[in-house]
Amino acid sequence: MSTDDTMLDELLGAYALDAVEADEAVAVEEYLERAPHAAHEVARLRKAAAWIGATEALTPPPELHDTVLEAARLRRPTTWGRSGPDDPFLAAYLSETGRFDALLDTVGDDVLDVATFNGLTVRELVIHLAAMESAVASTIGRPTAPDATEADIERRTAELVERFRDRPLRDARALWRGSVDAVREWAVDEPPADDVPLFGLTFSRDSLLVTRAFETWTHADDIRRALGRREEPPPAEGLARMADLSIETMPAALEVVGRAHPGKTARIVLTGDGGGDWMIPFGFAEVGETPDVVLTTDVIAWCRCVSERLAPEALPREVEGDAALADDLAAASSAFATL
Amino acid sequence: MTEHVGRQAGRDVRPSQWERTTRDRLIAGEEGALNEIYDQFSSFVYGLALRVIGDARAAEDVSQDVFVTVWERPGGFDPDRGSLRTWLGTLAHRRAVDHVRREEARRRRAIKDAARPVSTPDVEEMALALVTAERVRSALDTLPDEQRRAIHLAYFGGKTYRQVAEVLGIPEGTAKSRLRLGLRRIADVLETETVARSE
Repeated sequence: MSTDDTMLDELLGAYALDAVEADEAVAVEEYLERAPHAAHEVARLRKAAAWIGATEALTPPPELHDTVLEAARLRRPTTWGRSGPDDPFLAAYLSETGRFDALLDTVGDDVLDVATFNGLTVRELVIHLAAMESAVASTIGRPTAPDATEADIERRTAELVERFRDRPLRDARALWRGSVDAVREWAVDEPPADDVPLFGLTFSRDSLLVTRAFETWTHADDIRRALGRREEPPPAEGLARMADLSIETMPAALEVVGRAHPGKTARIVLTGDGGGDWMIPFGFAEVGETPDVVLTTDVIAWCRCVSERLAPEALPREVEGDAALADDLAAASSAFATL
Repeated sequence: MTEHVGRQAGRDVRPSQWERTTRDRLIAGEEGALNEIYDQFSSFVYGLALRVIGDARAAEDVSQDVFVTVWERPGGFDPDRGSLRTWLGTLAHRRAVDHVRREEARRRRAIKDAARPVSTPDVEEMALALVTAERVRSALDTLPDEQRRAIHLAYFGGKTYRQVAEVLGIPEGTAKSRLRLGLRRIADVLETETVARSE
């Protein structure tokens, strides 16, 4: 340990009490990044300091409660209406967009040019999500980027990448956030619609919200992977909605990729929190009484396969019955993946 | 002062499920979660801010600022790195100290020790918190006088260790080590017996 480090160690108590100058705080914080023992000590000392603070607990004036809530609402809208347990679709959307926002708080300017899974840089991926979300806002009649003209996903992304090229990321992030807010307001205000057109497909309100949640999670994990961080799957409730949607669309997916087998039936068992158990027909047909194949796999792995982050042949699985049919299921799962 | 309050590595107690759930609910924009945190911690945040600043109006402003930050940036709280209480305490103390340093010229007003009723949304947590606070209070009483004075000047007085050294007429190095040793003693007390549960 160098003399400098010893001096920094001596500062830890003062630092935990906020009793250092600004330049010393910066030095200590840099030190904490590379010295786990010091970070551990600061955590202990901060906890002690907080408890010293707790010896002074005093009930605030009652009106402070309302003042705080009003100020909070002004900064970031709260969820209303069908949100919460009785609106799992909006809850999934808000949860994933919220997690993405929180992730961006931890992404520094120095990593914006790191390449992610689909070839876009971190910056371009954020812009891509702004392009997607603003397209959704537009199709539901609440445009946030009225001057963006391209309707195709990739061209729209390119158009916005060009527009935000020399601007700080916060500008693109603001468009994304504003679009998320527009979608949220629409989901709360409007009666559920069954025909929201987007990029050549038609969505119900609920499936649109879940699709957006799904893509937002996928790109959040793209960023985490690109930055060498741990992937973070959604909470079980949100994951369950995404798994549901991916299974509901399987018959259509099998038709789209030319792997439909009329008369055949599959049972899909997704294990883990947020999983489930479904019987589906192999295309646009009636579902049979007994399955021709039973595919059992982990719900998170399945969702990664659906979003093309895991190759169908790499999907870990247990199969009973016709293994070729299981291959068809895995291959068709990502039929509606975008980027 | 920079805003690196999220750095609380080495948490030694597992985060409660309540903390994790509440963080997820905050991220999802659920107002009820903010309400719960407010009910549980407003006395802590407000009392601390008031003790440091010595002005009720400013303590309210700081408290509001802390809870709005919790609402706006719930991602700043990492349950694996430290408890919600520590995070809130760090936010509140930083802001209070910033306020004091900004308004150095303003003379601090004495605060009368009024009766201290405490709201009890989570009765068990609050009861444990009261017990723990009482233990910390007595631990502070048993600290060597010079350590206690140094901690009081720094933490509640909003002074830097250099100012502490000046006020006490001691070398800066001595001030630094008194702060560190005193805090360590309190941390030791917190890690004994069942107190950690009430983190």
